Amino acid sequence: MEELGFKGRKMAGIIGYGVYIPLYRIKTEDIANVWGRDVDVVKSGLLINEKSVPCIDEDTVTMGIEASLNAIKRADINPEEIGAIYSGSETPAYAVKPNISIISNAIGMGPRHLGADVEFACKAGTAALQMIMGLVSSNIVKYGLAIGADTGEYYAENIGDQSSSAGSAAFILGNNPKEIVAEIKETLSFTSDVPDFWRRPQARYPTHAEKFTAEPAYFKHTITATKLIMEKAGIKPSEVDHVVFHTPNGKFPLKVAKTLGFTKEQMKAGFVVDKIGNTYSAASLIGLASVLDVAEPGENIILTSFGSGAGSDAFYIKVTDAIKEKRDMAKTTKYYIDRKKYIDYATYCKYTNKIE
Amino acid sequence: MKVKNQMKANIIGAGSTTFSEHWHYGLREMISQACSSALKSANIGLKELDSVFVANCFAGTINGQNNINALCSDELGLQNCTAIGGGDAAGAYAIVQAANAIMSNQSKIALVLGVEKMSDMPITDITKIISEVTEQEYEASTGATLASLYAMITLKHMKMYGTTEKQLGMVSIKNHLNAAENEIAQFKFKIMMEDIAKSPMVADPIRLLHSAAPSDGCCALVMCNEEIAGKYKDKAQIAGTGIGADFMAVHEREDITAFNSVSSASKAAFAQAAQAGIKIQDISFAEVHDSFSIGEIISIEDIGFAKKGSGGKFIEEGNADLNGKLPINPSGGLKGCGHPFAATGIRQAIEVFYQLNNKAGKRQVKSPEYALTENISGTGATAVINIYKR
Amino acid sequence: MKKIYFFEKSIFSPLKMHKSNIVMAWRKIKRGNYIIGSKCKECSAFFFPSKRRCAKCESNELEDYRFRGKGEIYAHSAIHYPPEGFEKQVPYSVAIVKLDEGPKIISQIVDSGHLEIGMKVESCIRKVYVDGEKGIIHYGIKFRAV
Repeated sequence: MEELGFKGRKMAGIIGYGVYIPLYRIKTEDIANVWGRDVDVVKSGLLINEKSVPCIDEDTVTMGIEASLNAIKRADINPEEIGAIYSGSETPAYAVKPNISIISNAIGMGPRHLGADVEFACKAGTAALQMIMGLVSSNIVKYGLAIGADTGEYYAENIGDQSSSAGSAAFILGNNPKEIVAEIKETLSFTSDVPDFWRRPQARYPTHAEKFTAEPAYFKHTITATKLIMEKAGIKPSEVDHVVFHTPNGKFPLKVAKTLGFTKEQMKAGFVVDKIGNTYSAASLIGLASVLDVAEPGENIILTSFGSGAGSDAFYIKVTDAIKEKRDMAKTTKYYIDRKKYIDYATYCKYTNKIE
Repeated sequence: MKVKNQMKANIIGAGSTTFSEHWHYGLREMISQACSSALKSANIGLKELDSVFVANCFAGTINGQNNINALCSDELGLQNCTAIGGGDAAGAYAIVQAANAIMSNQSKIALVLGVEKMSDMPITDITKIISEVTEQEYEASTGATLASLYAMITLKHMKMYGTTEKQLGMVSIKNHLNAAENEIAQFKFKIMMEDIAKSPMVADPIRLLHSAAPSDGCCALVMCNEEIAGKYKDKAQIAGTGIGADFMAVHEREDITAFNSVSSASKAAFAQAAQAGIKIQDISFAEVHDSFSIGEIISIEDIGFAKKGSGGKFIEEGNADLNGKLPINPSGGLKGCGHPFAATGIRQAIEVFYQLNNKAGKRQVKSPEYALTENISGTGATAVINIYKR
Repeated sequence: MKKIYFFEKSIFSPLKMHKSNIVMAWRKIKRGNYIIGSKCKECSAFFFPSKRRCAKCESNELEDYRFRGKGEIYAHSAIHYPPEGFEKQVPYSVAIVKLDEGPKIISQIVDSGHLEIGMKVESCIRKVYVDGEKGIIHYGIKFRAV
């Protein structure tokens, strides 16, 4: 059933946003060399130079807290006023006990709030965003917080480990036009049952259906959802200022862009995967934050995420004048990308608990 | 508080197991060994004892055995047994409790022992258990170990007073040298400055050879009142006692290089000892709590043997050596003997008993008259100081 | 065929089956993983941890105070011999941090490279202790260089 849009309801918009990327990085060649892979082939295939690594004492809870605190700084509100919190991740701290109860307590939201953890592979963060949109635009809550966070994990011997990384992004939505820095004007989702990437409960790492995940999964859903949102918004690719896609690697989103008629220029502001890797549920949201850090008032953004299993959430966003005064109130995405310390493969294994 | 002379408490016998990894002995075997040895040295039978005081720190956690006084009563076949806690100061606390019982005439002859069995568990578990003597909620829970707390105290002492690695090393070297002449000591080998520098880092800047090792051991004393002690040639009398305390968590202390528990305890002990005309300059030697090398240096300062900050110099000038002005830890201390937590305080008293009665063999201090023992818990949360005369 | 692993573990290493004191952990969570101490209403002295009596002016009028989490390193040490549960983090550093408001707190230092006394630090929330595979995760305050 198609979603009905905002007729008769308040517009939900972004009033604050923040990201967190761990300090540590490992270069693509430092992983590739251990497994005897041709570094040039890997780099040109993935378009990833290095990826972020969480320290041994970081997880989606700690990263979710950091991103949320940055979002609260930009939103400039009392955290107790946040009425709902949803956290999307495929690597939550517990299998049973939600990230949000720990995060909401740590950031000072108090006990009166709605919330739960959300899962839909790499689109769990944008799914959380849609849930918050619903609660805020129907005025059930005044402010809502959506988080996307992951400490991407993979079998050490699999090529997937070259790209899976860690990061988080948090977005606070409100419905007061005076506070909104970016209006979320339209949203839709396109979902179907595709077993392209999954993890059974007892398995430690997920399984990837390799080439099958490209055309019938990532490309089909991302392209379809993007076409539909532009139709809904009534705009052509050339009228879009910034476009952000989910980044399982660097190549796929660029290919989607080309197929749909977007240029590299339109992709540039939100394209960070080459420097931090695939942060799973945080990926497209960190891309969005990166755009908001530089976007001019009046510019528009198309954001389409992708989660294996499979589905895409698409958003049509318009930046307001208020963005200029808010964006420097907390650390920028660039700050976190540029803040780095390289580690070797052994330390990487130690930090990601690959050593039993 | 003035007490009549015949009410003072005395040590008339001592016995001990060796300090070692006693794989084959449990708590019971060590208790029996030390006690029969102590009774033999005092030439009395079990039936003549009217009370037992047993000090223990970790039997509940490491050996799963709480109610340690019940175990002791059971093993020795004696009725009146009290357990004393207090971290690694439990030994000295037990001596004070026995002395109080004797001085108030509730006891005529008491057995005082400290027992600890620490080799039953792997090192990381022991490291976690040892941090039970530090503050749990705000210190140990962060992953800070006892060694790391002493390490930060060492770092600060070096920064504030210029204490050097060399001075820290000299403490360990001296104590190993003394321990080589002590039958019960675990580490009867000499070490050199290079050995210390090469030993693994425990918590920067404390290395393995700056640290006393947890050990297994049981030490026992026979204590009695003045009347009974009069019949003995070998004895040591407690002339003064002081108990002090400080903030348990190191970070709550204004100056982390000062053990206020030690300075308070020292003041109180010397106030009592003054009644027997004893002043700090009269002390012939001291057994202090060197769980880490810096512990000995700070103890020397805070007891009052040297000015604050000059403990390192005191060591470097050789004053603490066996033939120095004021021998410190002639037994080898915690570093040389090993540190079965609750037994240490008793071991210190045993050393005093031997030294004051010229029974310390090759490590005998020349003509000692008055002695001092200082037993600390954890990072100096509490301190118990006893002053002895012959 | 799965071994009866659970049984073996509990007989031979009682401490490894030791569960965290859940209620003690929860009391800490209640404070919200903030640095909460006390401020004396009479003389404005700060204390950490919370006190019920002012050590400076003896007043009983103290209120909860949430420290801003900024301070400098007062002393530090890198731990090489860890307690149980911290083995995988070795070597890690602990430090006594002097908070801007005055009191000191002990905590691990993360993401900071070489440590010096006087280095400016700010607080963050990290995992402190994970109770094996079945127990709870203890989160807590750590500090990092500014």
